[in-house]
Amino acid sequence: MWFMLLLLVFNPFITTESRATAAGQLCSKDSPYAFKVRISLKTALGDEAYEWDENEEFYFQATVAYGMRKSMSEPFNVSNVLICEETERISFYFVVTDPYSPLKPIPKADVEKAIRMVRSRFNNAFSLDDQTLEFVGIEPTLAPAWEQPITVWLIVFGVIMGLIVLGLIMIIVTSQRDKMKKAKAAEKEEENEEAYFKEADNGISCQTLCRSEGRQNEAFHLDDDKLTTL
Amino acid sequence: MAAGRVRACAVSDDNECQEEKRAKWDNKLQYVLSCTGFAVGLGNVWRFPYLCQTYGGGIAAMLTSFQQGLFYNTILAWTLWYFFHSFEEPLPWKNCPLNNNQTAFVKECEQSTSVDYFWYRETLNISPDMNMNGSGLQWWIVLCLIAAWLILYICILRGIESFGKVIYFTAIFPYLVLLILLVQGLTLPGAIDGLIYLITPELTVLNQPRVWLDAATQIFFSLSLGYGGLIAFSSYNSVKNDCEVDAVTVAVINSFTSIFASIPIFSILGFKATMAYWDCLDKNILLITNEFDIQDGNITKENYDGWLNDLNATHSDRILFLNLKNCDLQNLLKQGASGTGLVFIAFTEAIVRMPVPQLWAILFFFMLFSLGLSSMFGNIEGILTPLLDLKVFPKCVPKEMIAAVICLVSFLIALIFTTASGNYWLAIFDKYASAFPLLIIAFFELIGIIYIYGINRFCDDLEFMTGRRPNLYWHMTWRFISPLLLFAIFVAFVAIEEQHQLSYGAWNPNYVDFPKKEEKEYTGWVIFVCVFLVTFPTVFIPLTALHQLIRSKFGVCYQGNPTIEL
Repeated sequence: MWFMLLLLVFNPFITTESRATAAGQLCSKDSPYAFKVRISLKTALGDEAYEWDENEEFYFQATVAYGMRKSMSEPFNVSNVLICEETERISFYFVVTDPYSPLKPIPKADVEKAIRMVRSRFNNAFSLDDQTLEFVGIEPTLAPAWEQPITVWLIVFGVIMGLIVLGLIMIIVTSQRDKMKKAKAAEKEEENEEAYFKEADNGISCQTLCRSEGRQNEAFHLDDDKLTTL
Repeated sequence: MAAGRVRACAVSDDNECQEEKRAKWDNKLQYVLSCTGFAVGLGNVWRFPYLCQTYGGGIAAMLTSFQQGLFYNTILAWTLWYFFHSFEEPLPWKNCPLNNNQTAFVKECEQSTSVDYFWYRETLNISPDMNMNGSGLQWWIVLCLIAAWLILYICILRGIESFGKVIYFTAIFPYLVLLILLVQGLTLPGAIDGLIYLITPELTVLNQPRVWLDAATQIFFSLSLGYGGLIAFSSYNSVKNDCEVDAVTVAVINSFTSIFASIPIFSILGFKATMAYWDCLDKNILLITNEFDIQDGNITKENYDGWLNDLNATHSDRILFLNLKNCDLQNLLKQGASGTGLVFIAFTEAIVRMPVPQLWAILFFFMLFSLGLSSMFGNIEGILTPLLDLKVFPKCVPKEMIAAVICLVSFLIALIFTTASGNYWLAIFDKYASAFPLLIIAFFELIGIIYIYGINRFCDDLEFMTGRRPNLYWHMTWRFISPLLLFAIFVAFVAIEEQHQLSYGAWNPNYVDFPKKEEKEYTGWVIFVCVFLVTFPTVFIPLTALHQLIRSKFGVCYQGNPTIEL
């Protein structure tokens, strides 16, 4: 009976201790269920980097539990996420245990699925990104290539081609207009010349007379026989 | 030169002396800017001997201009392509695209870089071999090519009256942009390293004759000599023009531009090298931090060397296992590129990292385009003016029509460059269609004018035009130094070609050493094309000489003597 009493008294201690040692055995570097996490706070945040302490670890455990809840729809708790092997780097290993049987670790595939599902929320929770919050073994899903909503380059091309065609048309039109103007002006000159010729009696057009700067009117030079009859 | 004087009086039907109405520049500035624009081209910016000019004019030079214009405008088409894409956010050469099942990046892009991928795959869609023409024309490049030729046509439509105005913009704008890039470049980290690299001479390098050859070649090609463009431009000056001062001015501006352009280019290259260096260091630091679980942020770029030495002393085997890359800034600075590599790969990479990258991309490619455009003006004039002067077309055909025909024919032939192996063809054209013939043409022009026409007659002409005879400097250079140099450059060119054994570097994703280029040899018919490209223009030099000889022997008198001798 005493023995039973002793057992009863020490049982909880034994179970907690065994649980602790069991947990310690569960979460280790070589455990097949453990994921390594690397966090680079200074690289991500520089001077605004926060201190990585127990509270942050708690936050981490909570976020993992949240992910597991969403993924497997089971009531995971903070205590189901075990963290060990913390280093200065900041890196550590973590293992997730089943909420219904706390000594049973969840296989890696399920944990990976959960982490992938909530990865962006995870990153945002810690103000980090895929590179600075690294889950070793879980490749980040690549962001889909940003598809331009409209092919921008074709639009720019279209604008420039439109301008060129406009310019061409304008140049052709103006050159044609100039040609027509010149043709009309030439016609007018011809008409004027003809008119001059009609008026002149001796065949010297007024234009030649106008151009010269003062000419002797040879008709009045009686002794000058330069001007023969035409 | 002599061209102007003889043509002032063309005998017409009723034996009256009529001044032929030749177009004229509005003012001297337009002329100087045009020559500068022609001389200052892509070559000044990307240090590649794409342009060259002494003075051309004549069938040989016209044909060379034609061959040059074919591929040169294709480069402008590529520039336009990049310009159109510079309006996108994010810039398309910034990130690698994902593969089909969205699990990883496209393999070709991962192995090389995103800028390489955008250039070789998305722009050129380059084939791994020169003979694969199966894919036909790449429609996007064809579109850009159409745009490039149309823009060129619209500018040269009215001859020098129209592009005399355009040249104000296309010649001055690049300087503005270079200035802006200079200011921006100097604010970037690592710019100073680039500039120091530019300035520090490696005196040992000066011992290699190859360096002097490259320098001479660069200047020769940079001045756009031998095309006929400069002669064409100059023929629109009045006869009594001081061409000596003009020649010196253009040469000085050209050299100044090359030097001035190097400053922003090198500061931006220094920035790019520094970024690559920092990336390399960061990767190494991450590896070490993860391996030894050191606190994040303890190893910085500054104390990296100290940490590495300490760790190497204690845990050298683990360090060795990490396979750290050797990050060397000087090495990265030496990875200079030239030509399309500089502009479309190195520069685009640097631009992506600048703040507001779209602005710099737009400015840069617009500047390149206007540089190339002003050079294309010279090319087209080098074709157009001889055609008009030689009266190949009947008088009723308007100048606009002739220009349109030239542009159309060039565009159709240039469609070769829009195929998958277009870039390889372009490299061939660049070397064999322009560089070689130009050397030959320039050499023969010099010999022709100095020794056959006679340097004394030439000096008489110059005295008529400028009012003074050329001094000893000009005599020395024209008679001895220049012909010798040209001959030396030509011989060296040929020798280097022999060494290379006519090969090209192919972009082959399946190559073992990818992303390094695979050395492939030109096949037989390609070599035939190379030879043809060289001989086609140059054969007209002896042909025309023969033609003139026969004509004068048979005493054919003609009025309105043609002026173009070669």
